[in-house]
Amino acid sequence: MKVFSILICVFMVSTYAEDRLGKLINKYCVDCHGGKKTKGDVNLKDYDGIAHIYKKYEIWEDAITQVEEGEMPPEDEAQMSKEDKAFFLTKLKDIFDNAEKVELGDPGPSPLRRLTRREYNNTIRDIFNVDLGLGKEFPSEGGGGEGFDNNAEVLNFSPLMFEKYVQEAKKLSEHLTFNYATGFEIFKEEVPLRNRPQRLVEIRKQIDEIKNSAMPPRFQVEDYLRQYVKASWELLINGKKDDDQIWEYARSKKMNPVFIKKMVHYFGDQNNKNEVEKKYYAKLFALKKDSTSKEIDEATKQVLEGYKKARYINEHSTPEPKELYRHLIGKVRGCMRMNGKEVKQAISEAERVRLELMEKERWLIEGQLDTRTRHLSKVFKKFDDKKKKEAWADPLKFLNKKDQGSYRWFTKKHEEIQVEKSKLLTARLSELLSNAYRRAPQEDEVAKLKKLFESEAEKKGVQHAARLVLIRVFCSPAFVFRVEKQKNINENYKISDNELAVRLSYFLWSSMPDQELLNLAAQNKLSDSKVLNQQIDRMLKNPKSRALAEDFAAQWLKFRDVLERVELDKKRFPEFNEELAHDMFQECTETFNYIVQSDSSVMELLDNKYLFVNDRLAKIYNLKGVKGNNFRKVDISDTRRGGLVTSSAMMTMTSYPLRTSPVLRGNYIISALLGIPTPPPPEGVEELPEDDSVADGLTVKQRFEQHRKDPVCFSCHIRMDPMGFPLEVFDPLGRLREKSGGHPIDANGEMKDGRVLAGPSGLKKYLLEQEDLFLKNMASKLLGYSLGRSLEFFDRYTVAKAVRDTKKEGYKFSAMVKSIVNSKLFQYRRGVKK
Amino acid sequence: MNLSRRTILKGASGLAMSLPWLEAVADSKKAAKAHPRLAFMFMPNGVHPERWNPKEMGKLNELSPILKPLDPVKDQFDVLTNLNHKNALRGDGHYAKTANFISGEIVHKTAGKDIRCGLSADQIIARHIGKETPLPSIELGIEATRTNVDTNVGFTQVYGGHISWSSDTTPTPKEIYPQLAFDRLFNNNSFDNGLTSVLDGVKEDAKKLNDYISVEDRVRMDAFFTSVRSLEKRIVKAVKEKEKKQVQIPHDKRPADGLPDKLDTHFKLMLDIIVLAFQMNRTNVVTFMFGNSVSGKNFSFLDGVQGGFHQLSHHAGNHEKLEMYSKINVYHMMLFSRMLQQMKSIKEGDKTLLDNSLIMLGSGLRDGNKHEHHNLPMLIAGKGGQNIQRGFQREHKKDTPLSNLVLGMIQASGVEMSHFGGSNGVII
Repeated sequence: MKVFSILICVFMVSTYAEDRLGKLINKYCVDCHGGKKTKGDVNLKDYDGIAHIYKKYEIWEDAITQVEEGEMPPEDEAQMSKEDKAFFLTKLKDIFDNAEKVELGDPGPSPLRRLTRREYNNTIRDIFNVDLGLGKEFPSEGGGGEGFDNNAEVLNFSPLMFEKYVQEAKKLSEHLTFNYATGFEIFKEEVPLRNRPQRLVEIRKQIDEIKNSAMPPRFQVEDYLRQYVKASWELLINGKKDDDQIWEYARSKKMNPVFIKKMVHYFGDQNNKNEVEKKYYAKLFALKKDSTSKEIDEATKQVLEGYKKARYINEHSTPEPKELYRHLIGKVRGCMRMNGKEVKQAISEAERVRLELMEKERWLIEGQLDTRTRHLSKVFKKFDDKKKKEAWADPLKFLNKKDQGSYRWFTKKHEEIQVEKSKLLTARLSELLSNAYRRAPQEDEVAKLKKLFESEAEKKGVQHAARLVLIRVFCSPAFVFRVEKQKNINENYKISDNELAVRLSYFLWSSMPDQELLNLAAQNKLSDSKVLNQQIDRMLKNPKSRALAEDFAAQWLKFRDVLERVELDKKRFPEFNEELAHDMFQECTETFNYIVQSDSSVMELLDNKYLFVNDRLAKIYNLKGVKGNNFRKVDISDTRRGGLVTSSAMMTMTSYPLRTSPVLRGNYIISALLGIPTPPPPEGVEELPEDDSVADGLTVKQRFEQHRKDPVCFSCHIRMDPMGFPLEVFDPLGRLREKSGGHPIDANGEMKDGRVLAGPSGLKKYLLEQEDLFLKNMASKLLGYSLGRSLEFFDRYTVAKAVRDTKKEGYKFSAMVKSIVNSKLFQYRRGVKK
Repeated sequence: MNLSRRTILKGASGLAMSLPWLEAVADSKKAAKAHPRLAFMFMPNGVHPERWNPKEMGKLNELSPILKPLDPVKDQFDVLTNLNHKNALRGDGHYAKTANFISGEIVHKTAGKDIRCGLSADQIIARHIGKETPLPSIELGIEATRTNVDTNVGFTQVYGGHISWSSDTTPTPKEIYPQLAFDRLFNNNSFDNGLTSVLDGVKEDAKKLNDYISVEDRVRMDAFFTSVRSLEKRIVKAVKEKEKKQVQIPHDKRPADGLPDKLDTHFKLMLDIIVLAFQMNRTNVVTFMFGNSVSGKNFSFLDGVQGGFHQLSHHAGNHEKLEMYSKINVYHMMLFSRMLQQMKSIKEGDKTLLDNSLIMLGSGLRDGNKHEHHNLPMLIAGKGGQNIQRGFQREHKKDTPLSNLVLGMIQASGVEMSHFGGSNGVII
């Protein structure tokens, strides 16, 4: 109610004008939309002046369009006079325009949100740098608000949900090793529950790798080689040729030490090179310590070329002596191979390092407690039971001088280690909490956790304790929910920098803030608009911003449907399978991601001169020369292609199993792209044949025209169909076609005002002209996604401003994001006085 | 792993399956008080309207084409005619006739802002008798809820994915993984006492956060808190069970991890779990969704069917499509018949498991093509431990509220309630 009263003050509506509007509504609208009839689900019976317009703005927005286009009142009902119509429209538009011009200052509700299942996995991935693909078995969220699964209203909690959180946290804990020095670490593989420090597990892994990698993986030889060439150069240039140094390096890079060692020796001996080798290694040897990564890349590339050529020459004739090349390939291959002896040596070398480390870790973890105890029991062995008891209670009394000395030493060491361990544990737990809770942990939070850890460690061992603590943390509401502090004041207030960091990172990355964001927040610098904008630029360029394509765009533009819902007839379209569906999905994410990462104009979503394709999609698009299933950007000249509007995914999603549907396509464009709501078809309407190859002599278009003659159908179809017909040149997979059902395609969409959209190019040209509608829709969706709630009337200002800002900045995606993030909606909370 | 055949065989032999009942009998007090098992089963997308009802009212003789598979159990169920879901009138399409299937309320039209559709009957019953079983209720299905808003009709997909509502505004999510459902049923997921300290801490966190957050958010935190409590209670029960060795986990019936590749396998595994749950007294209340609203599941594995369910349900009178549509309906009835036969073969004293159960099965639509909600396809099977005659097509007055049947189920469970969701009588 507070909002409305503010609004009323702002607009200073004159009673007279309001009366007149009310009278018009009563006269022309209420017959069908109120009382007995509520056509199109619109009920104006409770119209009580301007407040109604603010509350049910969707209806009134639609009313403007309908009245403007002459759809309402319908032809067979009483029509407004010219004057009345003009007044009606101006009045309503005024009210709307005002809301777009004035920032009302209400940030709206910001309800507590739990992480979505995707956010859940992303967050854990970013804490531990391992993607375990968790959360897949969580119930999916449904969608709400502006159509997204991150909408607070659909993020419910239920007993089943919590059980799944516990289960998933348990699963996570099975991948954990804990070490006082390095903390909580998660491995891709499950870690058996033993007191096995993390680094030892790593060494173990490496031994397995050595066992398995007597030869490099067959299909990645080139990548592999390049990596090793680079590694050996790096070691050579830094003068690290000793076995230990090579081992250390291999461990840190998780590479095969034997291969590296051999390569270092091979490249290190410059004298023993023939002409061919010298030719191809020239660049490598010429490199300096401060060479740029580009230069290094160039040099390794050349080495590789030599290798490739040698391989080729081995099988073909060559003007140069074969032997020279044979020598080269033999050498290189020799480096990448291990004989049985070398495998054994490598393993024992790894074992040696393992043992060394084990000693070091034992010292830290177990301390010398065992040694001390063992020593005492040796001394006390000969005592009887009673004396033994006394002796254990006060050992010093029962020891001789020499033993007293070593006992004191042991005790001191033990105490030192305990203190050290305790300090380390506090540090490790604070780290874990600050990551998991996305804020600095409070002292008592750490203390409580420490108590749990220590008591469990005593009972069941350190690794067990670590696991339990991990489960405890990842089931805590502080992790599960994105908690924001509610201040007990009347005024709306700016959220803390830390809360801003969290809002921002879940918006752009669907994940937790990284260290840089958290640091800036801790220094209270993040809310500085300049810093904030820099961070937005940085975050959009980070690969994690792919989440915007996969979460935001995939839901807004509905291309998740192509994975979840498309049911093309498999007999008619045998090409369509899961693989192709994934390709279609990926084309869309690649395109959106490209626009985000390169900060291009968002209008490129509608039309551009490139496509992201792999070999399978290239076939659909009839592009030559695309090999392999990796996606790449390809420039195109066909103006019918380009932009997501004509992408294979969109064409497929908007088709029936056996035919295309100009209506679904038109509806998609109108509602998903331009944001104009279209009502559902009235019940019991006769439908078109499901197959376009039915031989009744009519083209699909003719059938539609027949269908549209019905005035009930006309009002919507005249808006949808002209957008769909130009796309008829694409079949249900998005392939170009000449004919449909044996008839030549008529790809002209005639709009109500007589304008003709000729083919996909004509349609796209028209859409580009509708930039205001498109941008407004996109900004609304992006805002709704960023806030995780349905938009309200008072959000309009921010939407309108985002559109203006985006246009001002060359339609850049970052401009829209910055405009939203810098708004009050994004940075404020409603104050609530208890 | 497909356990279907084995289950039937064992059930038929009456040996392997009889154990749990004997145990229940041993505890005679409990046996006397035993509640009927109740299942609410929802089919999306309606049925072929001409092929659902048998030709004649009264005693079931020749079954209709769709109901044909139920022939072996035709004395175990009734076909109910002329039921109408009055509150489904409001709102277009499927959603307004799905979420409220057993809540009897109006589905509030929303894209997500204010989801509301009434507390569902299964949850009313679970609140009442849920304490008596390891799980108050289970909610099963085969399709994950879709993550968006159906902008064509302005309903959030949350409505399409749930018939069970633990409050006016909160759907109860359904389990779609057979193995997870199994493990949950038998506490086979090693939740043990060790977790207690974790849960205590988690509860403390929730309490602490309560001071921190807004009043509205406390409602959300409360749902979290309740969930933690509910797990705690389950652990206590599970530990007790283990100590007393009350629970025998039928390990040989544990489904494989992950989602089954084949739809047919998936259906059967889920239905087997329902039978198992009832048979072993793990819960008395089950909801099952054969699919979400507007389910487009592909039934091409059936002979002569080509395409998605929803697509086919919009048959537009096309003969070929209608044929396929009804084949899917027949398939559902085959599954249902298989389940009823299993339940009939399981003896409980001188009765059968089916005798002691009540199963309501139907759709929120009649003809999927028209989104009709009059004369809904509706069956009731089992006798709920009472002396009820089954095996009839019952003629009810035109537009008898569906809520009458739901109320019948509620009353049969022992919950005292005189009206429900616009009911004007009781059907059982």
